[in-house]
Amino acid sequence: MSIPSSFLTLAKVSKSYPNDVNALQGISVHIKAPEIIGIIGRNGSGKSTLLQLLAGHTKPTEGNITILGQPANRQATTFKQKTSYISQHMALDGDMTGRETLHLFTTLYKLPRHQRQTQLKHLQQAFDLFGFLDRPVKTYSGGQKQKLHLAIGMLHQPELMLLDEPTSALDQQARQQLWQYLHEAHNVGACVLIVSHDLQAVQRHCSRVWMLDKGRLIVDKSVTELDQKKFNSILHIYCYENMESCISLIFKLQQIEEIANVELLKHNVQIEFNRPLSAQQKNRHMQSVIEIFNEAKVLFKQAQWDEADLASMYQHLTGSPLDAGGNKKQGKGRGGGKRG
Amino acid sequence: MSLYLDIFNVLFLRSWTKTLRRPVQLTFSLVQPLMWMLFFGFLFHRYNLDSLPANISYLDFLAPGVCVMTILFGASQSGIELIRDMQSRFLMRLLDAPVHPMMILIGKLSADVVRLMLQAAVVLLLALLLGAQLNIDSSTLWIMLSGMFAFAFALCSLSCLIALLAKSQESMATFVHMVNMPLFFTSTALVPGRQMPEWLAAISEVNPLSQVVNANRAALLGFGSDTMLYSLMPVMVLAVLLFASCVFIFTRFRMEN
Repeated sequence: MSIPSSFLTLAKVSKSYPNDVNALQGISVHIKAPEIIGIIGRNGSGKSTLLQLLAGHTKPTEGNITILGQPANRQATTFKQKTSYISQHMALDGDMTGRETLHLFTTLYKLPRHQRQTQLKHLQQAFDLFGFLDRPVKTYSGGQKQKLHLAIGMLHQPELMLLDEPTSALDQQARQQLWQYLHEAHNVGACVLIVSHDLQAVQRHCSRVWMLDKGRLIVDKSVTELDQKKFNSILHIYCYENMESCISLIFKLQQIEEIANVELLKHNVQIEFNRPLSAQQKNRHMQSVIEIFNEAKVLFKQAQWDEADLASMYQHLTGSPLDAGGNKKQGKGRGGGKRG
Repeated sequence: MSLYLDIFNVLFLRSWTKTLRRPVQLTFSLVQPLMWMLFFGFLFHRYNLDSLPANISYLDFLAPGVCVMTILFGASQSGIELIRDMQSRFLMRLLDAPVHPMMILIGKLSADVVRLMLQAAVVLLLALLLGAQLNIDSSTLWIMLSGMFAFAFALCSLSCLIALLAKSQESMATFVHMVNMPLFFTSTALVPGRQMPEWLAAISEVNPLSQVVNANRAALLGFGSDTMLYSLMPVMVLAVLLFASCVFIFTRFRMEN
């Protein structure tokens, strides 16, 4: 795969719909080198609209989009051959088998005959399509359908991949296989844009992160830059009883070194430390906190570190949390004693 | 060239595979013509066909008409399949491939036309089993087949055109009934034009179904001639026009979706 001089350029791109709905506002970005870009944001923040614009499925109300040196034109043959848009909707034909579907698209994407079988075998291996490819698609599980859906999108080896929440129906192993495939594609020069709510995976696998809020691009930074900009660690203790009146607990907790602030909420005690903590420090502080709760005989359900940096950053920048699964890491399990 | 053939093959085979995986649908598509031949054939077997030779029974007369009727009613399936593809968004996926929409349409329509021609052939065999006396004129058989092919192509194109505009099976079913029933009852499929009221005979003369039925009847009852080809010209022109309109709407559909 020859690496293009520029993958995509968005110049002051806006997209609005009737009834004054501004899906995207003034987005400007330029991607020169192949990267794996994670796009995150709340529901309705414009992530899918952005991918649809890049895929040429819809046109911007204002601004210009250039993909691989050409204006984004979904009808152009070269555009179709070099890009792939994998939407959230699994567009499959239930009457056909997976193998027939893949064979159909290897032909429609004009892969040379000698390459078709090789590519099918490669995809079969990469997405673990064994054991079900010869059954009609209507008999597949959600995960099997998603794997086939992804494999179809990859079979023409696109230079630009646009993936909209591709891991939603996949199990952990399949997610790993997808990320591995994306890394391999990236290593041979493909650029990947992926919308995901799995912040840990985005942080681990992407080279760049775009954060969207209310149609605006609020962050466009490399993961290395983001790693240097960590936020104070926060520990949440979820309790059975109303904690708002347990003032004595605040004094005891504040004796622990490095605690900056303790907030008593209805069934939650929020403990903010004065800096980002390492895993070891977190364990040590968790033990101290649990001891205080046990001494005070306060029953609690769960202790969680709010440690996903992307989520913290998003909340810090937008003032409201990124309502997404997979952004919290559980610390200790159940514990505690009776309240005296 | 071989690449285009490959593309045609995969699209053609896809339609056929889907048809064969729905055997109930295929079987029932043959039940309706069989019932027409059974009920109408025996109900009107004493009907006096005064414009035709005395040795031709009503069943002999009806069989070529029902054969074309099978194409008329079976063609709506073409559009229904397209709507299914639209609803599963598989059609959009096909249109995202670097292939001209016309290629996709040609592959699909060709499979549908071949299916309809085979269904018509099965109906003809059923007619023979029911006792129809057909005197096939081999010299004009190719003209009959050309007429049926053009008619099937025209109707499948129309069916897809309606599907692309209606986008739902319910709207399409309504439209198909509105087109098919008048087309069928104002044709010479059931009654010779000379035995129709004048106004109906005038309509039947310009009805493309009549033109194909008449050519069929001539070839299958042994009084065909080479001039039949000229009478089928309007059907062929209609097929080209409907196919071109379908390609136009299909291309527009791709741009909008």
